[in-house]
Amino acid sequence: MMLLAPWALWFATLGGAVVALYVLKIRRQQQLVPSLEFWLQLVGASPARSLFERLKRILSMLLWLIILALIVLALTNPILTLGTVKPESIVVILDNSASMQAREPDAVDGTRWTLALEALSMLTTRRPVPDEWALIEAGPTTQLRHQWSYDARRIRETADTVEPFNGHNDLPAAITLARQILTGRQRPRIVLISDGCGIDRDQVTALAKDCPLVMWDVGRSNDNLGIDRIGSRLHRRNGNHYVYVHLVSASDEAISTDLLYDIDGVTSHVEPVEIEPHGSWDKTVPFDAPDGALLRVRIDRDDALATDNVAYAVMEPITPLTIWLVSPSESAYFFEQALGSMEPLVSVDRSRSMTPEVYDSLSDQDRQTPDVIVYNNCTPETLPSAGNFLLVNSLPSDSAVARLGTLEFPTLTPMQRPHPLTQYVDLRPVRLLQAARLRVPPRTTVLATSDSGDPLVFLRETPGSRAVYLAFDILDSDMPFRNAFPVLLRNTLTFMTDSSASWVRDQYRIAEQITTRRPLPEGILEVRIAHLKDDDIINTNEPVHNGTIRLTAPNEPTALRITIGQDDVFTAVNLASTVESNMSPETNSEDPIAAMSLSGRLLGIMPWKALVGLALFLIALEWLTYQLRWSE
Amino acid sequence: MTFDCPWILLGLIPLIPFLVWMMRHGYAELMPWARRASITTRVILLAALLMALAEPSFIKTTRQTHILFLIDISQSISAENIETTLTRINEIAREAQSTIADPLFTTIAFGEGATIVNGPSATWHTWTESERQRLLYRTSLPALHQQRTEHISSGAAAAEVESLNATINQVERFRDEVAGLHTNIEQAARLAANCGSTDTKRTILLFTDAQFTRGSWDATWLEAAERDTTIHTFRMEQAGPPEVALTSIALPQSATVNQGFTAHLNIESTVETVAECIAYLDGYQVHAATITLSVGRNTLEIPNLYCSEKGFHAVSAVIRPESDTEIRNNTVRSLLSVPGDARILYVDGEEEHMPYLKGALEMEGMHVDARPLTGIPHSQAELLSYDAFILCDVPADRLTLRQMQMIQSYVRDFGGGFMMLGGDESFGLGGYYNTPVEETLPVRMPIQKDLIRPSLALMLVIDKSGSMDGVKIQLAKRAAIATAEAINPRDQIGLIGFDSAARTILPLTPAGDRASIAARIADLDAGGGTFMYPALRDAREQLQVSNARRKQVIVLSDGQTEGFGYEDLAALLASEGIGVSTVGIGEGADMRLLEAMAVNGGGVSYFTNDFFSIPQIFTREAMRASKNMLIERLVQPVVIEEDIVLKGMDTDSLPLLTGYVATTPRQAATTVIISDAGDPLLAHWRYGLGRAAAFTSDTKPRWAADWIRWPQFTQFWSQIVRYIAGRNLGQQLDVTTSHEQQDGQVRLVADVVNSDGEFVSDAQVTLSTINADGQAETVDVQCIAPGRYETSIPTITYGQEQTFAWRADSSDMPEPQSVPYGFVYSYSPEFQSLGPNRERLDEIASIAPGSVHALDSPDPITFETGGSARVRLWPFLLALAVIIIPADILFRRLGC
Repeated sequence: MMLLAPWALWFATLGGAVVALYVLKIRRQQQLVPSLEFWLQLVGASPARSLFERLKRILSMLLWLIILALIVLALTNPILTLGTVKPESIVVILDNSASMQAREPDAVDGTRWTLALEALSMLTTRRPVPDEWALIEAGPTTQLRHQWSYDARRIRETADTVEPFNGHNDLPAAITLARQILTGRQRPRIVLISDGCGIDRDQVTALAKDCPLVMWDVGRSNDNLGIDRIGSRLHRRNGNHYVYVHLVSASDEAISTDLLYDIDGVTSHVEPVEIEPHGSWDKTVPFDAPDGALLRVRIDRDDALATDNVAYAVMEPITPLTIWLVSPSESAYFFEQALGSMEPLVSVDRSRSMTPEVYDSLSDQDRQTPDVIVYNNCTPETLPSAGNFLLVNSLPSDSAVARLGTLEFPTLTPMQRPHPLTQYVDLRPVRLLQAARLRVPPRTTVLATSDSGDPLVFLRETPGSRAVYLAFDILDSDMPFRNAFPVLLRNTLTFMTDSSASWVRDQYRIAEQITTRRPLPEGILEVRIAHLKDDDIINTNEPVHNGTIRLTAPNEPTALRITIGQDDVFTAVNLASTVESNMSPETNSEDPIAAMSLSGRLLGIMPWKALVGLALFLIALEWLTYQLRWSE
Repeated sequence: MTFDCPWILLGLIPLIPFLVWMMRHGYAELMPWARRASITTRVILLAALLMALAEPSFIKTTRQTHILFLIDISQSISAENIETTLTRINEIAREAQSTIADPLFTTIAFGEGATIVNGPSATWHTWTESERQRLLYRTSLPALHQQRTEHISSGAAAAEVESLNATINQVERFRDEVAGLHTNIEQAARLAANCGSTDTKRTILLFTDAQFTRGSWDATWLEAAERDTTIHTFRMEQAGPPEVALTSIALPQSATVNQGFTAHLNIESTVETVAECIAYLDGYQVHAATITLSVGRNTLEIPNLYCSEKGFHAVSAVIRPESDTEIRNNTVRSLLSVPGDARILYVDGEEEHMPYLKGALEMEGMHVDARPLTGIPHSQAELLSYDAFILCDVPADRLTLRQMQMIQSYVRDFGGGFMMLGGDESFGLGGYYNTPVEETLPVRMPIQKDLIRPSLALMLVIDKSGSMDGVKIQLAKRAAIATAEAINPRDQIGLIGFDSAARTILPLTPAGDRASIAARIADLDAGGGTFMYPALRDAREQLQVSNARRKQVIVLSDGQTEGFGYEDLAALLASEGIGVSTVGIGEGADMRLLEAMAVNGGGVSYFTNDFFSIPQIFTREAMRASKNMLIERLVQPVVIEEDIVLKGMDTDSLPLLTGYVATTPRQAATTVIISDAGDPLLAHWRYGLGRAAAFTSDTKPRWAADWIRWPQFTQFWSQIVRYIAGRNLGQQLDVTTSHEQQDGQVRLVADVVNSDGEFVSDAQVTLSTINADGQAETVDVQCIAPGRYETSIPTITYGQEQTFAWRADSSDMPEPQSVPYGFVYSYSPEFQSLGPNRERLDEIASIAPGSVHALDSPDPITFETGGSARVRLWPFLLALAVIIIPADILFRRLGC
């Protein structure tokens, strides 16, 4: 037995007071009574006083001493050991992942999550000894929901407040946290209440290290067909999109159903699906959506898990780019040749090559029409307020980039950062005669420097505008003769117009952190988020911290429109998890009820309560004996 | 106030009628005041106990704060920084204890893992010796080891040394599990966010250089911020000992054969120092320079590099600075893939005869790298730079098991071509029976045909002295069993074990009785001295009575035998037609004696330090002795299958051969040419992703003099070799691959398009690799988008070349296609960056309330206090009940 509050034993000293009160003689008060009555009482009582009277007093005293002892013992809050079962420090991990929200025929309230809560209830009420409990939720994040407590009721109440989660969780992280908070505790144990889907039992046992781990599996339904992978890609040469969808079946029966493809809310394609028991199915379907579209894919079937029956994909707009090349005619040759070879990325028909003089004669409104303007060896007075620009040996006065001088024979040194602009571009062999020595403002993405660290290739992004700078004349280099030139040019055009250069990825998982791929332009303090929910749009604003947002993806499959300055970017949020969709639980040979020595409900009562209950009974007994004159 | 079991309060209701009844009838004998007092106390007592059972509680606000110290003890943090941190924490904790009403302290150390070092505790104690030893593992471990050495040398008590060992183990475990090779901020942040009461205000004091290499810290940090947690960050930027790191080597994405390229080295240094920098290309030094490094980033160009051959080429660089601390970041390696024409590796044990085949293949435009038997590659990356590998006359015991597994994996998993040519040391005669090479070939080594061949009586004489105990005796047993399986079932085999005396473990028995042979050989166990003579004498006696045509003794020993006269005995055996071969294992073997015995006995002497080659030596020697695999006579080759390898050739009258090695074709193999006895001469098959072929005769004057003069000799060989080297021929798909390191894993992506430029999403794509044990592993790959396939390799092996083969198989392709791929991560990123990451430190401070401080800054830290705590009332109610009991008794006693 262990006493959680041993200091309460000091109250036992009151037992001395009880004994003293019974032993000490009370001084009688003088009272006048008729003498006959007195003698009758005296004569009648005298034979019994010798034994029974003494017993009457001892019985009462004994009862009070027992009552006192019981209450004092209850105050010490004892923890009892029952045979070989000893109280333990138990961390309960509740798996709160998407598959736990699957419908279960056995569950009173319908889902595996309900079964998990029932299992927790059984665990915390039927342990024959009082254990110390902690509760971890393995949900969107791994979180300790209840700190160590002997109060199992609080653990259950806390578990009841956990919100169901529709995404994939990180069970190994939960096991690691459980082990960490069990460090130094006697008789540690981890109980994982889960449906066992996607659990590598050897891995979690290894993670638990020396802590015994009991896996309490709940759920058995497996009637589910889910979309576990979806991806959309733009085929620039064909001028269309391809959407790949992969389904996985957890069902024991063959499934025949339809897959519906809704483009911007309208069903535009239906694909019949025939899938074997526990099989998978995939298909790539082409779509023509030149202006871009939001695709929703639905499984036309009601099954155990609804979250994976729908998935979204974003199809970005595809239009050949209109490029304006503004360059003195004597230095335009290489650009004209390179741009001319970039169909269908570049629309040769709509693109123009012009001299600076022609460009200057255009109105401001006209200047904003192309997708990208390439300024080569000419400096516009000001850049248009919005648009995409490639500035080669060109430094507009309002560009916030300052010219400090000239670099002779600089070595082009690429920065070691992956960036869509420099993908497959090898700038190292490029030799330069000279370049401008520049100072760039903060938040500039420098992609290549000179050997002395001066920026030579860099990117400036401001709200509504992107500008790539080359701080040298390509004719002062051998760059036009190297592969790097057309590849860099193509990357620049693609980056400015392609979704791969988008601020965010085209797809996230439920509850995944959404952050921007690169710092947001200066001056953007807030980003607007539009979230599609049940055909309604919910708008929220997210603050910008250190040039990025930190947004948690919604708890359901959906699409988001993120408005950054003038740009609208779209992204999809899906469950996209094979282990959640393939929800057939693995058979667990371990019986958790036996492993946890669970028994009847009464044995789980805290000992102090039993002691107080017994004390109440004895107080009633003492009162009864007193009233019946069996004690005094 | 709330009640956990409010239904118990229903018990208070009966108290009211009880009270009424008591007021009227109870305690009649007591005086009125005593009666009232007693009834009141009794009711209070009962009410208190019932209320206690109902478990009332209320939430009270507190001024408590939980102060969590998070100390980054990863490898990028110097001991000086940790030492200063411990002092600073001591100061902060003492100050907090004196200024905050109700503090709670917890210390968490983190690196690759995270652990609570002390707490949560209401009082701060200064660091214990054990805590300091663990946190300052960089300095404490060398000191502890030194202390142990001193203890042992001074003859200290065993208990003292044991205690020191236990401490060292504890600190080493802490270093490996907590510090590790990374900085996982996510795990540390999660532990800090979930440690201690969730109702108390918490302040996290993070001591770090913010060089986080694993985990996404911001989600947990954001969550902490939502819980109103203040995070003060302290920069661990105190100058540590001098440090130089060779952070990266930049190579072009790809280079062609003989194309010059420049390697760029990036070097970080915390000191000005002189360093020697050496660069290697494929292990050969290509550049050496002494350079002066300045503080910060330094770059060094290594120009004029080129690769003269296709395949993977390893470029590495080593820096040796005068002042440096950590040596793990002084070497970087990178792989360069060089595409080019087909290359063939040809390894032959008979160097002088190599020009015949080499010349034939080169005449057909193939690039042949001909090497002697020492030139067998040791790394998969090296082997992968060849399209086919031809092995001829190299015995199995000259290859390690790992090399044989590598060849097997090269064909099966990486789609390489492999061919073995016949000779004295090839196929079964070379000891390849039951090896990975045999599994790769289209023919098996034991002969299942019942040929009329000389029978063999083979006596194995095996040293079973004490020195053979362990793996050696086990391998000797395995070798004996393998030998029995390899020879003809009609042949005889026996085994005599010797230590100080000889013991016949297995008398001469037909080799077909394999079950009883294996059972008897299992009885062989080691122990005793070494005296070989009686064993040889017994072997002679048993062989003398055998009617076998060939008789052979194989002696295996690892030590010096007692006695003399062995050379004479071997000569005597030889004169009686009994050959003697010897195998010496380990440096202790008396090789002079064993060689002399083999010479006198007309056999062969072997020496090996690689115990695992013993079975190969035994089977090779047994097959050599049996001679039943070696067919040396005029043989007329016969084409039995019109095959692609013979396309366009006149095969009606193939030239005669004068010998070959007998083998048995596999069922799945295509046997193209056979001998007039029906044995396969040329067979091939598809093995995994690649192709393997066996030509059991040779390409030399010994057996193939007529073939060498045959006009179609070059065409014949070039067609066979082109066929097996078909990995890169006729590619149907364009597979573009890339990789990136992501949170301790390597994510590999392949983009697959067909020759029309269309995405291929229905291909079966797998990724094969070689694990640490040299075994091939296939990793599942998932299609994630049209034409895009992805997988993750869960662990990174630093400093080792990691080679893979992407395999794509599509229904409209005639056969699968393989694309080799490789990379190398030189060392953990933990050693890459020197100094703190200030941007990230600012970022942390911007997410959660708090500020960034210098480690030695005397700025006072403000702690937010407050929170809530649930106060349980049942103990107070029970205490009231306990106190009231004497009062109840008192009133009754006084009122009588």
